Amino acid sequence: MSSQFSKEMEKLKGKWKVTVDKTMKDFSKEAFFLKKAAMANESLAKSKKELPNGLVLTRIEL
Amino acid sequence: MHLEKYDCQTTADGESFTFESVGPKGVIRKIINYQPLPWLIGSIQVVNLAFGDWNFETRSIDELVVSNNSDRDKVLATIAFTALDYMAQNGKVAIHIKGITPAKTRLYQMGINAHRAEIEQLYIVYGQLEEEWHPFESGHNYESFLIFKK
Repeated sequence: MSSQFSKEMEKLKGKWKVTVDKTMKDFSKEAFFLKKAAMANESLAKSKKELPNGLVLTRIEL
Repeated sequence: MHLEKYDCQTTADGESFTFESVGPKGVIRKIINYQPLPWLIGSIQVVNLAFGDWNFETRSIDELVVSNNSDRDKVLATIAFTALDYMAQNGKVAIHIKGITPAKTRLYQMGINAHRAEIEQLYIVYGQLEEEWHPFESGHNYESFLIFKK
């Protein structure tokens, strides 16, 4: 990440605090979030693959 | 963009965030999660942003709850800042956003629209309309959004 981008990010975020909590539950396997990811996947699959800037959406294996 | 927002806790991998919404309905635990999706934009990984309330009785996420805790803008600003944090930690990623209902998608749209000038200084925002992607503009009801670093 460029240092200029880092500076801009810090300006945007201001005094907002994010604390890493190693004991916090990982919610990635929650049924709700898995369902939302499946919905997003389906939505992207149905969408046109070419974006306005010329880049292309490509499906991959995770 | 020095908005009022809630401080958050995050997991070591930075894929889940949590914070407490405080208002007339009490203290509500909010959960935000970022899930990698099997899609790339060019070489940029697409991840899905999802958000819900933690139900302490069922020990699961409430899908359709509308908490009405009189802090909508503060909650939206907090979600936006977790997205900035996630993108800052993970480098080149594109964030996909789609509410579980059209009403929830419109809430995200209002949040993007309210801070569009600041967001677009650093990020490209596209909205999906009838399967096509367009540069984000006010006055459309988009079905989903893609946001990534310029």
